[in-house]
Amino acid sequence: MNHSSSTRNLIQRIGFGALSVLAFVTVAPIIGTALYILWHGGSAISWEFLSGFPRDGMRAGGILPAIVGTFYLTVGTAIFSVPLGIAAAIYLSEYAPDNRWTRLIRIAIINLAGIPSVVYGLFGLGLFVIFLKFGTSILAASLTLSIMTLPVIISTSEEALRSVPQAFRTVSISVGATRWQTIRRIVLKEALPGILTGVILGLERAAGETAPILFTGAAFFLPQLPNSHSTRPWPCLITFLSSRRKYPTCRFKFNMAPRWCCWFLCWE
Amino acid sequence: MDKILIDSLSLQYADGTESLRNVSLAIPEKAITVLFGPAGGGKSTLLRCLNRLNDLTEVRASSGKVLIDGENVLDPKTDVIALRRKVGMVFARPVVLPMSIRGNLTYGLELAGETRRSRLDEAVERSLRLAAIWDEVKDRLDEPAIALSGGQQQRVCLARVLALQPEIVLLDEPTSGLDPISTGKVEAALQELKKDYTIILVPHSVQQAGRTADHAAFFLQGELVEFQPGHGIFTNPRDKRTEDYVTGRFG
Ligand SMILES: Nc1ncnc2c1ncn2[C@@H]1O[C@H](COP(=O)(O)OP(=O)(O)OP(=O)(O)O)[C@@H](O)[C@H]1O
Ligand SMILES: [Mg+2]
Repeated sequence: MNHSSSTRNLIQRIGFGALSVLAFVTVAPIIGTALYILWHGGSAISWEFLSGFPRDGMRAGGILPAIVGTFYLTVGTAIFSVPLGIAAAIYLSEYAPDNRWTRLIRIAIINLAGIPSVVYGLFGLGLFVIFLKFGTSILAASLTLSIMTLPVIISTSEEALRSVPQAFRTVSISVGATRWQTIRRIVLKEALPGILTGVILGLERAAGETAPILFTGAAFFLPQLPNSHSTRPWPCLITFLSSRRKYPTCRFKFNMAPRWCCWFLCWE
Repeated sequence: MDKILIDSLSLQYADGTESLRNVSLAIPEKAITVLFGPAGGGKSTLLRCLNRLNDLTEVRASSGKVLIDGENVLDPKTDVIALRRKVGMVFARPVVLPMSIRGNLTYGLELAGETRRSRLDEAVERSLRLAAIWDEVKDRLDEPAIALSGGQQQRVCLARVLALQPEIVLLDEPTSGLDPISTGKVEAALQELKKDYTIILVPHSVQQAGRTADHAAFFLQGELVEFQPGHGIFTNPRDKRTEDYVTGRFG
């Protein structure tokens, strides 16, 4: 009795120790990288960098257009994808019958969430930019990103709605609530944290994507604030990408690192 | 006076289970009618017909009538919202809604359009008193209902039904998960309630059936085997199967 409980204790401790080591191994490089970069290049982040315009083929200057562009894009994407996504999730979880047709729709949604973003980009280019003649614009880019974000929002929200206990619905209906009153007053309220997680995950993906914007809205990388249309949206971006590939090490100085990080935060 | 008249009611679920077979039963008003019998007898199914909660499940076929105050509530034209306000239901497992105790009690009334604070407060106190839980929760009405004990939650569920001032209260094994003291409180509350309400109770044991029943019906595999006004079914069962069950020789 005594013996076996001390053995169990030991196993418990070994397990706990192993988990701690693994957690450390995962987290340490991230913290290390962040500290290293801050230490060597923290001084390079300045007000001018955050509020300035890019110069010199994007190798100098500031990142204001990228910040503003990302903001517009994210808001635009949210406006299209959040209401539609939540509505679709409500339909699938609360109203749709469970038959072959709805199962097919669910599988399609899950698969859409896994499609590479460049495919969405080309689709957006074809549909919004060229066919609907929106041009490379915030509208086209937001719509493209919305389509890309929808599956994530729908499937996470549906999951959140389904995890609300069935008994709440039954009770609500049994005291004279309609289906919609039950959804609005009980189910949505309970599912809200899960839905928000889905929305954040989806928008995060949208805000961090390059490929779809590259085809549909790259105007934001011009050395000016996004206003309407751009005359030469692509070259800037492509110059930037290729210049990075050609001279990966010689151009990469430590005092530039935070700038690169910010670029990436805004770009990727 | 009979409040509810069930006329040759049959019901078959989508998977083919025949849960009710030609059940006819008259339920007197302002009394406790007990529906008892072994598991799967169709008692819950019958209760869910009375407030049309079976609308939520897939039913393959149903026939017959349920007349409440002379109106067939199975008629597709029935206003189910009004019906469910008139026929309240307490479930086996206490399910409080994820809100305060007060919120649970006013939920149905607010849905019905009541906004006057005084009316709501009045209903909260009246129904909590009727459900014999007012003293235990009167100082914590704005706390989440989920923090109450199971026994308290079940009485809040009963109060939630009473807040709507229904005419009929259905209780499906309301004390199956409760300790004897909570069970006693619920049963005592029911004895008070039957003065004003028509109560249909599915008890969780034959003992409870005997303790609480004014009238009793015995169900077996979807059939109503025997119904007797008064206590006759326990003291003088007419059917052999009823006798076996109430004397504990069933099986
Ligand atoms: N939603 C449903 N779908 C299919 N069959 C069901 C459903 N609900 C109940 N049944 C079946 O109907 C029959 C009667 O069930 P019901 O729940 O009415 O019995 P009960 O008398 O309340 O039993 P218990 O004492 O176990 O609560 C059972 O055979 C059950 O399996
Ligand atoms: Mg039952």
